[in-house]
Amino acid sequence: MTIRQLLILSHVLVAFVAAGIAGLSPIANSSSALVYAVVCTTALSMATGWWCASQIRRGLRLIENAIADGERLKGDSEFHKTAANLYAHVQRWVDSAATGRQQMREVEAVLASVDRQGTEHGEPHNASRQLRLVLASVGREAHETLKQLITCNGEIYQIGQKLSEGAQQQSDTAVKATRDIERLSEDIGTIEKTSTQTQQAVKAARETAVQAVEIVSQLRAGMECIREEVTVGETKVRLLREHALEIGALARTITEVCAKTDMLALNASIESVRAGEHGRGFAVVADEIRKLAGQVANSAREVEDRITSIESEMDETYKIMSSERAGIDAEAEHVESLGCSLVAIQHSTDQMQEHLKKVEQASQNQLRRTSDIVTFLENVLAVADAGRGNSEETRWKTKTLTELIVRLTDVLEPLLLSAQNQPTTHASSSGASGASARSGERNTQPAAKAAKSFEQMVVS
Amino acid sequence: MNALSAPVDEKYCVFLTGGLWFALPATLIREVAERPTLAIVPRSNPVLAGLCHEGSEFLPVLRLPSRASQPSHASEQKMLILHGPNGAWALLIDEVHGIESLECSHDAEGYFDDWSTAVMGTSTWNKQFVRILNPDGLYRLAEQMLKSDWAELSTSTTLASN
Repeated sequence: MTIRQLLILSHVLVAFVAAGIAGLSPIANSSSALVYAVVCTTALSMATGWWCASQIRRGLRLIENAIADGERLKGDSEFHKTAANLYAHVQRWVDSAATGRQQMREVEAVLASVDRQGTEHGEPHNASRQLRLVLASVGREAHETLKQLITCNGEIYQIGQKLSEGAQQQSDTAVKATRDIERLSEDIGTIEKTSTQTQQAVKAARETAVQAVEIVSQLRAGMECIREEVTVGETKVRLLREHALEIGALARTITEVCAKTDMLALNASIESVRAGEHGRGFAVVADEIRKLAGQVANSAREVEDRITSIESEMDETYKIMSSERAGIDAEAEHVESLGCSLVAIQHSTDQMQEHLKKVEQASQNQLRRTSDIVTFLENVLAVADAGRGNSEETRWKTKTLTELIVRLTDVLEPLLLSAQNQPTTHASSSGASGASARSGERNTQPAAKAAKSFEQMVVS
Repeated sequence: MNALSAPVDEKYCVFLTGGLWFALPATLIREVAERPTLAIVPRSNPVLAGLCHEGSEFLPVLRLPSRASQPSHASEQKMLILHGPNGAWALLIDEVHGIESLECSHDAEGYFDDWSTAVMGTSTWNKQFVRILNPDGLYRLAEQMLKSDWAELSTSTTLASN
């Protein structure tokens, strides 16, 4: 059953009771029946007011639940749903206020009728007074309830403000964290890129090391060949030196033979001189032989000199080749150590390449996880923004509700004033009936004022 | 002048010893030979280099008086074997140049006062001053010098023994 149907039902009941009271008042001629009718009507009004208060409390509880569940709200649809619920509650409350205003008018009309009937029958209007007291009691209860509502609404407003501030801080923190994580992601990307480049460089270094190892092995083989060739050359130089020594010995033998030939030729010359004219031709031959022996001796001496110089050069060459062989041995050791170093570099580059692969994989995992974190933070940011917007809306709605409650309090205040003024009115009305009519007019003024304020509140 | 007469354009054996050039008549030279191993005669004058065995005979080996006064005789690597009155003898020299025809001038006086009897004359060859020696005079001079020394030696030995 909707609120509207309930209100129509309450109006029908009030109209029925009022009609019953109006019909019974000339017939009953007794104030007890009239009192019963008024009491029934008042009970009905109290039931209607209690229903309105329960509806308002229910709406406020829904608002509290909406604020408490603000963090869980996601999306505009839920927010709009909550706002629509709140708007529906406000509409119901406005309708209830209109209904209360109408009921108040009807009650005022009933009270005025009761006052008139009591004045006509000359009876004191105790029923009216009791009715007013009951209404005042109802007004006080409503006033106290509204006070509590204002207090609770203020607390809800403060909680909404704190929620808004917290949501703002959460949003700022999420934005900052998102920026930091984006920078971290960029750094991780740079690390991954650098790792890839370093891996390529290490790969190139490894290839270079492999080529260097091959070159070193070729160099080692070449140096071994050179060493063998130098050894062979050294042996040949030694053999050449021995041959040179033999040639020098031969040259010395030739020199000695030449010396003996020269001496023989000289003796032949002496013999030819001793032979006189017969030995003249022999002397010429001996002279020629001496000259030839001298030329051979000179040539043999030159050969001997050359051989001596060749021997010295051979000795120097042999020493140089020996030194070269020693140098080649030392360089071979250096090449061997260089090869070992290059192999060690190759192993190191292999290990470095494996480490860089691990670094690259770790960077990719970090990048992926960072992207996930950014997505999570974006979701958190969206939720925080939604919660902040909901908190703001809740605050504004709560503020509006507070104003409406204040106006409702202003509306209920004339009822309290009428209850406070009732004893004075009762004392004056017990003295004269004309005064009771004026007091009835005065008593109707707060009710009219309350009805007017309630009307303004509803219009606003 | 105590020089012997010598035929003009005679062949001479030109040799070098002690840095001086000398010449001997080629017909008086029997042979030119390498210096053999010499047997040293003790307490003899340095003119007598020693004795050698050459051609199945023992030869006295002499050196020039001018060369005998010099301290080193290492360059004396050849010797000339000559015919002498008492048989062949040898003369140590440094180097033989050859057999040359020389024009002898008999003016050796004043050059070698102590052994002028051994020099027959002088000549020039290849812009060098050459002394032409008399083999017999040289032999006799050496003989006199040896005898004199041995006589002094025997006298001193006798005096020493007495």
